[in-house]
Amino acid sequence: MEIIKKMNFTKNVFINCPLDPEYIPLLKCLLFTIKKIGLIPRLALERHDSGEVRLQKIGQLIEESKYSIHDLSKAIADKKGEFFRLNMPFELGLDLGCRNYHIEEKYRNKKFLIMEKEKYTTQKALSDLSFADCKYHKNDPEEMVYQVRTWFVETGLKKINSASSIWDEYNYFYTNLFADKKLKGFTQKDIDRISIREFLDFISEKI
Amino acid sequence: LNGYFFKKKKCLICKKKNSKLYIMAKSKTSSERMHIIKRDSGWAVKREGASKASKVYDTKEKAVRGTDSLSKSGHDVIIHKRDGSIEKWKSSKR
Repeated sequence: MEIIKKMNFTKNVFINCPLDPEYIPLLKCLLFTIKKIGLIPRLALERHDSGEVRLQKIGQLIEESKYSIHDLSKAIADKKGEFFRLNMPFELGLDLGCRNYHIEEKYRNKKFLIMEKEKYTTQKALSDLSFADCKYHKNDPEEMVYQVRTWFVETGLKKINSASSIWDEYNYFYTNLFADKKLKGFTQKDIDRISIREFLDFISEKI
Repeated sequence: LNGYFFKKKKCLICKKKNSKLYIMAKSKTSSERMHIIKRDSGWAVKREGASKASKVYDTKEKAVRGTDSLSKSGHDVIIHKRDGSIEKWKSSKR
């Protein structure tokens, strides 16, 4: 399975996003949308090996993915006293470096989607990104589906279903997940806190 | 899976006949499910697999009230949260 993922450079989508509990519903919806479009989401959480150096794993994911989605919405602190996160801008920098400076020519075709919570917020904090045409999701999964789908169409992918049909299918998918897990003795809380690995496995089973 | 967990409509976990779990497993036919799904413009009531929503309400409360009769006519009504997850599963009363 791991070998197949590595071979799928043109189908892999590296996801660089916050992993806070409040972001998980957006992430789940994003993973489903990517699979529904026919691509393969790749993120650090897809495997957990305490012996593996995180930065090495990130570098590997970047090199294996043509597409990247960088969500910088947590690069700005929400409230006073909260730390803003530097992981996401840092990993975006690594990815940009890979595209521009990697010895292999294939990396020049890497495609990036930079997402933020509200329009132009990131550029205020990171003016180096003023060149970038960011998309914003307003912390709303339905909006996330719309923006991600639009971006993939803009990059040249064809025959992608409408955003509303993907969103509705995500709701049906969650219903099947709920029914399946309830039968196996999961409580509502267990289902809401299901690990990303398990969630990805269920998506692969159903799509 | 149905055969494993349920015998003669009795759930092997909770030992009840016609339990909620049994009904949930039984209603795997997607067309029996009506969903209340968040939309940009409000809350849509949509039968699973249909191409269009039956109706879009401006509030979730109105959408839930609007589906009251559906569970009596053999449909499961699944009320979703804003993020797509499940808030409530109203099983068919048939």
